[in-house]
Amino acid sequence: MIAIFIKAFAFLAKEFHDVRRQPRLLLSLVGGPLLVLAAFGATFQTANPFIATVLVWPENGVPGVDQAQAEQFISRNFYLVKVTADRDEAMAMLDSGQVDVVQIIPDVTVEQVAGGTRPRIEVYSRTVDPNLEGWVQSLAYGEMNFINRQLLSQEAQLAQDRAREMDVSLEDAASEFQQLQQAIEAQNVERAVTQARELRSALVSFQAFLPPISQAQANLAPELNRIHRDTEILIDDLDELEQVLTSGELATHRERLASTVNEIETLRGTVDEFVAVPPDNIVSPVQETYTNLRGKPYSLVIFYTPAVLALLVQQLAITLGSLGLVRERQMGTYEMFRVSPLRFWQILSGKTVAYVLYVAVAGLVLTGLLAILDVPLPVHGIQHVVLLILLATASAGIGFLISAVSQTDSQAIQLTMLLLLLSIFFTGFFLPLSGFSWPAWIVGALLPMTHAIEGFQELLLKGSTVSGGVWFALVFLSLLSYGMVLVIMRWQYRRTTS
Amino acid sequence: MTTRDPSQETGTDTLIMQEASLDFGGGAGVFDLTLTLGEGAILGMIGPSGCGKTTTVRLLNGIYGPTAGEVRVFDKNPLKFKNADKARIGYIPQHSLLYPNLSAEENLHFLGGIYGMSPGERRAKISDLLEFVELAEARKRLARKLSGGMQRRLMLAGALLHEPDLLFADEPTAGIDPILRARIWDNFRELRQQGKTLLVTTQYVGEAAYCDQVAVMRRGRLITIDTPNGLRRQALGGEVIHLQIEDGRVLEVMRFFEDLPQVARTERAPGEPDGILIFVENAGQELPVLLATLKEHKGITPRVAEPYLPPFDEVFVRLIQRSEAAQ
Repeated sequence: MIAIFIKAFAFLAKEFHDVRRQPRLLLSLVGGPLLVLAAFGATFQTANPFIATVLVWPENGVPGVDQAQAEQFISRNFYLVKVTADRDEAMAMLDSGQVDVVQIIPDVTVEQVAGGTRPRIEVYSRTVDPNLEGWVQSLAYGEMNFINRQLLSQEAQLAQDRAREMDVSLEDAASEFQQLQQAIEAQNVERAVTQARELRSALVSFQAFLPPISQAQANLAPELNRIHRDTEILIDDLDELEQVLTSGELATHRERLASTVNEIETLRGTVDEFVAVPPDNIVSPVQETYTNLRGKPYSLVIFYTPAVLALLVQQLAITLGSLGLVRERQMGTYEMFRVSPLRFWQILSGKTVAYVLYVAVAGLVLTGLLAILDVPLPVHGIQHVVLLILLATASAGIGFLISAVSQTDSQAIQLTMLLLLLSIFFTGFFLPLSGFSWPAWIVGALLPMTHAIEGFQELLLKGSTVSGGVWFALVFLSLLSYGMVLVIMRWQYRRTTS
Repeated sequence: MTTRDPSQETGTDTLIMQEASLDFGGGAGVFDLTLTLGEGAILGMIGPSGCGKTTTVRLLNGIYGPTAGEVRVFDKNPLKFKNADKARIGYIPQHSLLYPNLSAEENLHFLGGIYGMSPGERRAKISDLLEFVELAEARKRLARKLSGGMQRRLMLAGALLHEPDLLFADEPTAGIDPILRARIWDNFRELRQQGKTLLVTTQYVGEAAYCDQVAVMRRGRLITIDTPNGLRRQALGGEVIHLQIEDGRVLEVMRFFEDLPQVARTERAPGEPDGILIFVENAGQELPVLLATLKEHKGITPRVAEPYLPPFDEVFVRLIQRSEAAQ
């Protein structure tokens, strides 16, 4: 029984001596990943693309929209190279490749908008990058909303001013109708009709100043809807009043006048509510509140660091594993192993322990150095160590699998590089896996890094424990890869001897 | 093909091949190998590169299985060796399998480790073996800094670490100078004195002299297996006496000897104008008789008269020529 461990330990000691005698290898094992991590932390700024933009701003400006404010808004997502009123100059810059995007803001007036015209913000690019195009379209939509809001806010302010004037007219009209109601006589009917017509005309004029109901339906405040509705009702009421006054009995006139006074008072109430609402609330009645229950969000560098750590640890272990067996095969030592009283699993376990120890130590050193990037250290230290060991074990197993099917170390390195590409695309490292169809999910699930990213994020960023799924996946991948290696090696052994 | 049973001279058979073949296809492989090797003997396998020596060793240590015939080592099929059987075998492969970044001592510790030897057992043995192969002073030196000869001797030490009963050494002297080769053969003979059985392959025909038995291989087949002297006899058709005669009487003497019944034939000694080779059944026995007869009938006393031991290169060439002629 002891001999079994002695044999496995022979490989552990051999790998230990072999690696410690190669300072460059040691440097690449620990120093290399550290430099990569440091370079990532020092240079990463944003995941957003850099989009050079020219803004074409109309000479007359945009009513209600401050140009400086608009430029500031655009500069949040675009690199504003130039602001000009010359459309041709902007398009020439796009054609010559000096900029990525041209944005043309239309020459627009409040009256045009109030009159139902829908001026168009034009955005042009020549990009071949679908991601960049998606960004530009999304940001242009945001800009359109920004300018729309500014225009509508201006419009709402004008409508409120008009509503205040209207309120005075309504008050006068109500007073006049009340007096007529109390002393209605045949000679007053004409006066009442005139009063009704004047008020109706004023209401129709007022109605024109209100932001169009078609836009209001979508996103304007309920006060504006109500004022549209109540104005319409009062106009209809005044039409009816005029009809009654010109054809009905005096008693009927009193009742009708009383009704009109009520409608006027209703509209006045609505007007009071309308003018009391801030213009921004009228055009954007819904507000968002966002609360991060964890407190302050991390910077992008810190957010990506667990994934970078997982990638480095995985690749280190895969590289060691993939070269571990193929190098023995190339040296011809298998011949010696096969003659000796040695089982293949003893070779594999000895090498695994050596590689996992190296990689786990390198992973711990990297974790300690993460403090330089202000990444929180794991609260559950033991879980962090176990996660590193499991990630290294599963990754070394995949490395051994590569080694088992490779004839030369260059083949093994090529496959390792292929795995690196798969890891970048299909583990959620930069692109969320939810954006892929199901075959990619399977590839992702078979890569230890996918689960390790989740585990490291839980430990380092969320300060929680590692979920059971992560443990299960890494143990499963370890068993699967080592099982496959043993089957392949046994098959290769039988093929040689038979 | 002549075969002899070494077990009759040395005791129990350690290995037996009975018409064993391994056909790789296209004419490659080894075919119809029949040989035995007794305990405590050295069997040398001689033949040109690619003649099947390494394949034969791999059949014997269980790396390959035969496609026909039978191979038995320690009376067991090598393909079904248990760990205990494997522990009785030492193996020096053809190419260096030392880890270049490990010292001589660390390489030996690794080799001892894979045979399950405890660190304590290894330490004592390693010191002894490094002395045995004269590498004690180089124990801390990295394998990549050892010369070719030192590497071969270190591999010998590694193969002996677990005290095997049978040692397979596949071209252990390839590529090293004659002095080191002689030293390695000294080691092998010392091992034989300790009762170990050795099978050693080599391309150096002259090394046949160090072996108890020599198997000559060519194109995957065993041409013959015999003692070194037996090989000479096979190659020359008997034993040979070398004479140097005074000028002008060489042909006369050759004709005289060819008429004698105990002389098979005569030849002129290569490169010697006055030299004669006389082929007889037993050189030691016939030499005084022939000298006396020559003196009596011709009144000639040769300047030189001695049994002739041709170099093994010549023996090997003659055996190959005979084999080709037979085919």
